[in-house]
Amino acid sequence: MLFVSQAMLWLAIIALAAAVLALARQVGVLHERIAPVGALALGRGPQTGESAPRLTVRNLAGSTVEIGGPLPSGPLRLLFFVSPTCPICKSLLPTVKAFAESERLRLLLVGDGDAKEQRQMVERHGIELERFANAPEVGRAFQVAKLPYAVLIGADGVIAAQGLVNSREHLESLVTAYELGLRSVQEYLAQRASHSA
Amino acid sequence: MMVDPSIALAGRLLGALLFAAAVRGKVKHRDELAGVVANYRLLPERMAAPAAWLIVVLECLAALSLLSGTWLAAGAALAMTLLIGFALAMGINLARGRREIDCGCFQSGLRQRLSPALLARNAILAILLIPLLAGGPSGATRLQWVDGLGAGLAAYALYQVLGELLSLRHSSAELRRRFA
Repeated sequence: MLFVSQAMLWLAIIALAAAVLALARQVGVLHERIAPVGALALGRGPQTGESAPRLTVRNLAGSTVEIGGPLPSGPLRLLFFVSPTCPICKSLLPTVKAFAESERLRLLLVGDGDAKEQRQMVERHGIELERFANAPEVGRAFQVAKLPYAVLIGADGVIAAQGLVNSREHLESLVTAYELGLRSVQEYLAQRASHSA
Repeated sequence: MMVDPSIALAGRLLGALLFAAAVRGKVKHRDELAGVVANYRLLPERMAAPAAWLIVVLECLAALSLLSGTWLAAGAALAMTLLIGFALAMGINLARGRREIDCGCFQSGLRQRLSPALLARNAILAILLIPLLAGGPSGATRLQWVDGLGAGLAAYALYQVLGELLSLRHSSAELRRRFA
């Protein structure tokens, strides 16, 4: 019967198309896995391993905060550069807050812009006003070109790790990089490549 | 216009599966939906959420009409309008240079950026639905049913493959850049 043979042909074609689809999906899954999970360092400004610029700025509560410089036996300090106009910064704020608490980091959010909007953003996320400084000079000193950007400063006042962060994994990579003594995700990838070569 | 009933059947099945999948994807990602519509920057921001749900309802109607064959001409016209409307929205944003926004196709786990290929895809799909504007096919033989359903299903699977390959193309370009 013609229609039976026709039906068998169509079934074969559909099965083949489904197989190709499954393969393409699998490649997509691999792509997601391969993507390096780490904060991307942008090679400008003070580099990891150098002393962080020393600045004194005023936080939203009105008191002064010291950035950089040694802080013997103190915690690691995390500078997190944000802006109310950057959606991903806002979505990351609760994560950063929780992350800083769980890793016992001293968190300072640094903004650059309209003080009223920044204050609203901070209040909406339940962050203390002492934890936020509206100070464009900090961003300039660290030459932050892209947000959200995080800088981890060690007790000796040296930049321990830094990079563009988009997720909790990226934040964790900063602390991991500090613990491993690596400067950036690029360095990690290069090291891994030379090991496998 | 006289079209072979098998071609009309294939078009109906392809369109119904396609819109049903689109509705499913949008409902599954309903939290991002309004944001995706707003990203196209064609409507005032507070209109984004109602517009998103209107699109879902219209897609649902199109899928039902194509599948069941009731008000087939109207359903086909609605489906074509949606496809061409999406193509226009993507075209406007491509012309504005905003190719990095998500297309909102929700086809694959990977984000799918706007590209001229998506415009071409929508145009081809709309053309495939033209025969249905004349109303439903009548008096299909058994062979024509088998051909129509088989071709419809195969075309849908290939459509999925195309979507997957398009998002892979972007993500492999991104990987190359990162590892360079």
